[in-house]
Amino acid sequence: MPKKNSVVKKSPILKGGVFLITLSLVFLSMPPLLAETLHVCSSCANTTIRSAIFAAHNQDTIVVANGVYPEGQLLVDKSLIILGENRPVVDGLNQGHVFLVKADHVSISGFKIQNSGVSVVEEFAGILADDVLDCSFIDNVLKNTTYAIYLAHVEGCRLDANVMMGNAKDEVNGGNGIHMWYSKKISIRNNHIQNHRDGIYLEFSDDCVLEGNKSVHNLRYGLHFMYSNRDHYIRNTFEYNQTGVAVMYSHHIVMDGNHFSHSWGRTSYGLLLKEIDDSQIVSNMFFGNTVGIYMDGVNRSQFTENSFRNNGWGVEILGSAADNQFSANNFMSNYFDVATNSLEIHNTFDGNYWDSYKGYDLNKDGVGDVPFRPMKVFSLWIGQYPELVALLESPVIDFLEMAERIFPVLTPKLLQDNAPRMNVGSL
Amino acid sequence: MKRLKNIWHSPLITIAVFEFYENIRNKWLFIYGLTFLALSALIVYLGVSDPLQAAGSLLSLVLLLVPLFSLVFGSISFSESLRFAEVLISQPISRRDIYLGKLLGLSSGLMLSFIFGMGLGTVFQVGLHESGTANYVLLLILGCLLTLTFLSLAFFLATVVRKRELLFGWVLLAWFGCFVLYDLVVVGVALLFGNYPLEIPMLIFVFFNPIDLARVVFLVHSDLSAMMGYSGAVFQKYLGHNAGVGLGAAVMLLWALLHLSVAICNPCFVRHKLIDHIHGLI
Repeated sequence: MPKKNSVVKKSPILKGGVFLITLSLVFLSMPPLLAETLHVCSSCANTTIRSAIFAAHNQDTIVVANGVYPEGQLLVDKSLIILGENRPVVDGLNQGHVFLVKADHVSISGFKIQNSGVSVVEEFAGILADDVLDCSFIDNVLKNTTYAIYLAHVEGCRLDANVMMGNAKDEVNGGNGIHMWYSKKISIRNNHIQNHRDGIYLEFSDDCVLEGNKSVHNLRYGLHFMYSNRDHYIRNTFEYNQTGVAVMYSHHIVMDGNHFSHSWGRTSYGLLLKEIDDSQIVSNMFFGNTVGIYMDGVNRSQFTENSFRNNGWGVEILGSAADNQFSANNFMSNYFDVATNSLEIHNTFDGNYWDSYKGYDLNKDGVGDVPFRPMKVFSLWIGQYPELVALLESPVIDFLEMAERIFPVLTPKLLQDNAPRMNVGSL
Repeated sequence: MKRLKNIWHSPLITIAVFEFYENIRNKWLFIYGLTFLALSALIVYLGVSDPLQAAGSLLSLVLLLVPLFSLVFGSISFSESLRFAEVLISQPISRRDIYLGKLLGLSSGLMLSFIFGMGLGTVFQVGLHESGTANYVLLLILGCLLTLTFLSLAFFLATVVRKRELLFGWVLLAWFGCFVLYDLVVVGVALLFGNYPLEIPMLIFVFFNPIDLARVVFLVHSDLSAMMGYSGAVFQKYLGHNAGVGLGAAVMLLWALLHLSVAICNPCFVRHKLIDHIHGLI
């Protein structure tokens, strides 16, 4: 009896432990059900990435060794993690897309992706993700691809630390670096994009975050928003683009801490805003652009703590912009600080620093005692009669400014900063 | 060979060479050159961080000083040398030779001094602004053309206006007119007729004032042309290429030629009138 009893009274803890060990042994001996790692190299079972993708199952990892893989177009139709070791080269042989991603949860990283197709009908890309969820494309180098990374109907994708060297020769045939079409919640960080048509392009793409990217030497815009709302872009650098950033037909965009410089040319702007509502433009630097910010149809937006230096025009406000607030900005060494084409301005300027302010501060509170009118009579006229650019650098401009100083009544009363700062704010 | 020798010994060249040597020993020309040297070197040095503004400042310097000095110095020099001209005119030398010889000598002296000052002031900085070298050369060319144009204007005024003090008045008025008043008129026209397309009239306006012409030629060849936008396209079209500089130069030389021919044909400069003129001064 007692013997039987002892069997029945086996400790439940021991029982559970045996069960767990058995279970884990069973699972470990059944690899096809769990993620497997496939290797691709010249002496492996798979010598091409294509055959590895064919052999793989969902959730598998494919590790590609260093080498050159002339693959043509690779269709990724399973949820795979594809890793390159020591940056293997994937060559699209100018056939189509290099990676065509059609499955959710795909990750591609560590590759050099080159030679997408060239077409006037189709938009070929280094990586095209079409109608997928949750992808990540990290640390790739894309070279000689028409579009580098193209996201269509994608939600929740991460693009980090990619380098995209485009081949755009003209605006018609060139493609964009990162192209987003009806995509949501995309995070784009620390990428380097150059020589494309637009560096980064968002159309109907909401709730995206762009941070720490560098977009330079692009044919048209460094960054381009169309009908894309609630996006944030922070601490990016836009240099030597025809226009730094163009934000069009969008609302609730946050632009913080970006650097817009050297967009210099006949139709160049640091930041071009068209039909923009309720946006924040904060702590940006505009340096050496023909026009720092060009505002057409901008409403209820805040421009705070930005610096405008060495631009042709600091801010050009068309008559269609209203209810915007400029405060605590710095205007230094611009040919013209503010220009407009309108006789009425419904925007407020308060507490900015103007290097051309000649007023005084008797009570030493850091705020000038005399209001400042940044719009000189000539900059108003040149806005209304653009032909007057013939007089650029003419002494008549200084002569008129001198006349305005002697007879302040000449200065247009459109625009007035009631509390001009005496000292430059933080840059 | 003999013909060449004859040209070299023509009265025109002799007078020009004499005038040139006379002028390069003049302390005012030295000061003129030194001013350019100091100011241009200073502008270029301070403008290292901002080549665009440096180019603009150098342009302003040239547009301000070259016409002013050419006008003042030219008119003084001409009216002071009338007595010597009287001696020359008693010799078998034509009025034209005296006039042109003096202009040639004086303008080469002024240009040399300008090129020396401006060239030396900017040449050290060529390494600092590599892209700006062509701009500096263009500025030197435009300065020389302005010298010629405004010297011929000064000579013209000096032949027309007899009284020294009146002459100064006219010279300063001419300078102020070309420098500021003309552009004010252009502004006025733009404001009055702003509803009409004004690009072509603006181009024509620019051709009628050598200072404006020099300024626009320089602008369309510098990075500043970006600021001219669509309205500046017409300037880019006509003056934007190397041929544009040639066109600008041709128009400025035409201005010089116009002043010269009017001055030479001016009855004031007929021999007996000239002598009257000199006696009037005494």
